[in-house]
Amino acid sequence: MLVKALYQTLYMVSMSALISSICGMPLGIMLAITNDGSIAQNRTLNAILAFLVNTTRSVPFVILMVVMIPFTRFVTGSSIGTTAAIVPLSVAAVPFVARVVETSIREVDKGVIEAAQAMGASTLQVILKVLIPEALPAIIAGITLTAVNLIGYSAMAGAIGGGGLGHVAIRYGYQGFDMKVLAAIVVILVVLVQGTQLIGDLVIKKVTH
Amino acid sequence: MIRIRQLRKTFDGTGNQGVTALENVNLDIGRGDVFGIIGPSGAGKSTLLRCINMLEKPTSGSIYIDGTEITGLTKRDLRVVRRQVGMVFQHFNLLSSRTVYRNIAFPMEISGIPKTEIDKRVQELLGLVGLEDKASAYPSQLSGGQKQRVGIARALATRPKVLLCDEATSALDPRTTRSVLELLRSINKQFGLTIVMVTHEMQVIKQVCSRVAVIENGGVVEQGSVQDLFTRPGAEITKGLLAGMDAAGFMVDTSKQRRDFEGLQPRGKEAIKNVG
Repeated sequence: MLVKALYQTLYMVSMSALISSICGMPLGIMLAITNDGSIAQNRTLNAILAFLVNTTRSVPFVILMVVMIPFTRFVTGSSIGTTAAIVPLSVAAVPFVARVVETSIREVDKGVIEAAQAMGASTLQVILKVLIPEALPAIIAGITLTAVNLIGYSAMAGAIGGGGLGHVAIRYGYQGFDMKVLAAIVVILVVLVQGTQLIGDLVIKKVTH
Repeated sequence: MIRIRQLRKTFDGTGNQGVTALENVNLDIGRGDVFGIIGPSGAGKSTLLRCINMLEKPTSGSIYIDGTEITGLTKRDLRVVRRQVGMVFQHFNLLSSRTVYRNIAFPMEISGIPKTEIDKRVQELLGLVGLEDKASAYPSQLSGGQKQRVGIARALATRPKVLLCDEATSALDPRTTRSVLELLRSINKQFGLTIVMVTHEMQVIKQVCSRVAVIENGGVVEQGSVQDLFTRPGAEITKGLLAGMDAAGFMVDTSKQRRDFEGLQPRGKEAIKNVG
């Protein structure tokens, strides 16, 4: 039972971390480069993106899951189950990733960007060859943070039919008063979070020079 | 090589108050010159240099590089011109995520030069700046002088006609400054490369420049050969800058330069030996 739940949690977290990274990265980069004084300054676009990101971020996850039910059903064909839970998890994490990536990109030394422009780099070349590689350690730190947050969110998704460790904890621990199961799940979650952070840190160390 | 006419640059300030950084600047920089631009902090010398590759967009006036007017160019054409103008920065501005080798390869990579050609050129440049053994090192593992050598190699990679140096030695100690200036001078001699150098240190002008312009409050107050400037300084500011040098040619001014030179004052035989 616990092994299956752990597998479900890992599946939910890794898939939604992957999807939110893929969608959140371009959004974060767009936010960063359209900012005032950046390489593709565009106030209107920046304001629109910032509004979208902030709106999604201001909806609490429990409510977001419910609001998203029709969309989830449209995408996965069902609103219940582990796969279905990936949809609201990803949607909740996208703006988070976007903001983290935006901050990382904005931290890149202006002088280095300018040097690339002085060499005749185009905007796209600056993004691909300067901004992303230079911000990579910070971006990976942000994605690690997102994954850790997603572990917590996935437990909530479990409570409303997503399966995984959260589901087992509520069903057997909360409703069935089985303290042993509850304790076991807490231990598993702690190990999971520590492990995620450890892997993240290792990768960051590898890409930092 | 470079002709600047009636250049004017203002920055938008808060409210309606703009700041005029450059006003009616006219300069002629000849092919193969090592041209110095000197002046106190805030005089506009860096802004002037940055106008030459359009990192700053002039408010009005014109700049010709090799006969091409660059102020009105489209983004695409500007990128082509920029590949013919190398730039060296005070704080090096190397990519921390790339090795020395890949930093030098960078400008060629963005110009779409084939890999085999890039490799050949990088090896050549590593030899030129004396960093053959550092090809796979990252910038964080280098000293200031080594970083600037990488910066110079990178700036030369696309075989530019002009090299712009923005306070290229101001973050370096006197000994390293001398060796970097030595390198620039030998590059100038070897390839006939035109070098434009912004500095606030008269010593730098004295060591490498052939011609010089003195800038104050956004305008050129004096320009001519370095020799003339040293023997017959016309403007007050020039006399001030010269008076700020002691017998050994180093700044002993109490003004802003003082801060940059704190702890870097020449001491002992070594400093004296290397001057003049």
